[in-house]
Amino acid sequence: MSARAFSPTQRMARLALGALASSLALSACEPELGELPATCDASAGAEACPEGYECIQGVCAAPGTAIPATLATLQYLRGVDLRLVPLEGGALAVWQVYDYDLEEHDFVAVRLDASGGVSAQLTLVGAYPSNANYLEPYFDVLATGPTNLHLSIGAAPFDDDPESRLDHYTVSLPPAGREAEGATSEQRWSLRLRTLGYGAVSRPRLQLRADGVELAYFESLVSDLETLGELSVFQLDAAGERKAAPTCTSPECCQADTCTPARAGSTVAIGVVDSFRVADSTYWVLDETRPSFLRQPDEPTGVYAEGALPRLAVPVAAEASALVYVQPSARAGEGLATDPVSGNATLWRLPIDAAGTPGAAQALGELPSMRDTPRPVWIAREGKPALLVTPGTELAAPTIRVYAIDPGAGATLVAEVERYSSVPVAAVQATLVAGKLYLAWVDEQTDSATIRAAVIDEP
Amino acid sequence: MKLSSRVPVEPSKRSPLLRLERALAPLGLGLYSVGALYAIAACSPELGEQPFACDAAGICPDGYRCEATVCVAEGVQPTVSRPMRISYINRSEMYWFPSPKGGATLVVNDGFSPGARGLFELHVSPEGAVTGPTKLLDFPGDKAVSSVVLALDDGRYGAVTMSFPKDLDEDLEVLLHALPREGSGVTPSVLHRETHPYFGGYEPAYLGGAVVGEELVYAFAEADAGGSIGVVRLRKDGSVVGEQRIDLPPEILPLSADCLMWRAADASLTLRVGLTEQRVYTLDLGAGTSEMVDPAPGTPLFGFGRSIAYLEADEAAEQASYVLRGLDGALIGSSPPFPFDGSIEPYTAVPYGAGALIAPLPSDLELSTIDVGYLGPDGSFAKIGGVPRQGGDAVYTARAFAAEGKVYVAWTSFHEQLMDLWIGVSPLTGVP
Repeated sequence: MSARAFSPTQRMARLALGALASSLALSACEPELGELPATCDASAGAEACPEGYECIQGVCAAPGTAIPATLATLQYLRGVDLRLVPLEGGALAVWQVYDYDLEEHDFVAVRLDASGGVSAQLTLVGAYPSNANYLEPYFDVLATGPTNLHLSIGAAPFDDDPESRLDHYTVSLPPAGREAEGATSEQRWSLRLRTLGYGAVSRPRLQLRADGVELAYFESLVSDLETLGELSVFQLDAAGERKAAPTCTSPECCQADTCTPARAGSTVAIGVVDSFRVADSTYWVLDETRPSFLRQPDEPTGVYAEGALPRLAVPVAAEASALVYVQPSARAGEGLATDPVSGNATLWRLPIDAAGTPGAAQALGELPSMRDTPRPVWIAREGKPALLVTPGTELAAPTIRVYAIDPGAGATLVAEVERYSSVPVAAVQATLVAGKLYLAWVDEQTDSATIRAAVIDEP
Repeated sequence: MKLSSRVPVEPSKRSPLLRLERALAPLGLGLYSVGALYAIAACSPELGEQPFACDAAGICPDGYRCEATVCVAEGVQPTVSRPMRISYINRSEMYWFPSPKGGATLVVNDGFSPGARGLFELHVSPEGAVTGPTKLLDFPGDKAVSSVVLALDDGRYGAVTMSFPKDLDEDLEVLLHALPREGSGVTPSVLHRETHPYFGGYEPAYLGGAVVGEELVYAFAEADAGGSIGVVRLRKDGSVVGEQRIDLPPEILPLSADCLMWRAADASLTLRVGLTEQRVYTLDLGAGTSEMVDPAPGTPLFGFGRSIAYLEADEAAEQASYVLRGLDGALIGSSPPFPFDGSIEPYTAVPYGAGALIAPLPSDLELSTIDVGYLGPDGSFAKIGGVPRQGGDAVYTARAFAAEGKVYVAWTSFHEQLMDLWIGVSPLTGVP
């Protein structure tokens, strides 16, 4: 070995040559490529990834790795504008695309199959008129058959009239695997509804019944002396048509089948965020932040019930005379939706007496710590503990967690889905179909929103 | 990002392969690939004056500087810049001010970009150099906050904000903030706070405001009991001088009661209320009274005290003009008609001298230039400046300002699901 010292330049050259030699002899070594070495194009087949890896959802990964699918990358998406609808043999992820410049928004979807496969994108309702000066429309979607959907849109005015809009569509999907044929939609009816003005647009809510479909919308009213709200419920047949002719056909009055005053003394420019069907009535959940419920009987002679729920409570199930809700962990800091949370979540049962008056809520047990935003998802199961899906306490949690909830025995973590992302989760949706749990969520950054999805075996 | 070889490259910025080539040279070694790289490095690509966006850290190749998100060649000063790409800036939320440093400053409210909501300040030199954005006030949480920004003095902005309650709170909150103006060092503070019942909704209605002498006046909508407008007078230290209330007419819905306040050269105040349907009121602060102006055709854009400027489209909505009418509706003067398709959103004119500036003044429907018009209190009208526009994104709104021989204009345009803020500067010519 020469004793002559190399200059820094020569040492660098030797190192560089060493690196070059290593790269030339690449085939003879075993480079450590890591768990997720590269993106890939699945159409390249076996050539798409190095040996020992498979192209899974566009990423080279060890065989069997659950890589979330990317359904869409948008520049902006409100969390409320992602929905996941159970369908025969899979699920349908539905979202809204804001075409501000055209002032026409699209409601689009992809099918997820049991293996996690993602279909081509379908336009359910396209070019929905949307004034760029107003807030984006809200929508709800409900499957009534393997290829049949109801889609309702609550929207601000597009023209010079002040009333908000409620439009109802039915959508026919192409059979699975033939998405290239496209979906077809038909507008069944359109109404202008009472409103306090800008932003007083309700999220519509669709609820399946044995004899049809119910659609709820919360109208806000202003008079000389009062500012009030009414829950308007429309009864629809399977074709989306109204079952009975309305008694009023003007936005000056109640155009629904029933209009029930609600939320006196509280916020009224709010939406219908959830619903539960029990034997002879429907529970409508109003607003997410200052939630309340209204239990509406099928028969006019039945007993209505109305009650306020604790701030940020999430109703998850209903019985004929009780409502069950999750109280997420308490917000810390300034109490903002993005602030940390602390303490356990809790599960509560709110009894309702024969007169429709809520009693004192009863604690059913503690739940793992979880945020209220994104809102946890509860999936009731016949004969099994319910599933609760949440990212937990962290806004940018590395996993989506699935708990089995047994009020008697507590919560058990039964599955975790790796996100492979470190950006905040804006929304989570989940549904259970034929032994598979379908999950979809929104990864949110300042200038992008990515919809991801995963399918796992039912825990 | 590739580094230009047209200019000397600092050693630390040279590529590893170039360093490899230099390291090999003393050893007399040569590699074909390195030779090829050398050939690439020896060429002089022409990157142009504004060839590409800056990276996230604002880094550009040598010979370029990052200005308003774009790498600009040294020695070149673009007159049009795109300093912000955001989710949305409401059309009311763009406020120009004369800069104590020369040029102008623009304050905008990014109310919707997740995690980035707040008031931002941008300085624009008379040559068009844009500095910023600098965040003046953070809006934490996930809800938009409406604001009107005024100049309290050379060192402070007075920003009135209206925000929905935090999720765990009850009431809508109106605050007057004192904020540092162009790095003046003033400590941000809240000078005035009031709360009002909250009825829900998506975002607060717009605020209107003006500075009149030693007072700051603002107007906001309340949804309680059928809806009304509150007009509040504050001293510049935040103490209350007085308040008056205007009941909303039935055609103006309370959550749509956006307010816009104009201060004319004679210090008279005019208030516009509403969104699609609008009503105009003249205000008499001393008497605490208001008077509704009889509705006239078009969209009210400025109040001169005894006259109102409107954007008025023809019946076919294919052409429009900026017109000036007396409070009785009598026509005083008008701009020449310009192409119109209903999407022009000047939202408001802004005071300049005895008259008002209006933008855009369309010469074509594509708005290939953002032109600025001047409407005098006598009904005279002239084009006084304009800047060419890059790209064909749909323009949302524009706001103009003029000082010391320059016209400054800011506009927003839609870019897919996002919005771009653009700023341009042109010579000021032709004011009547």
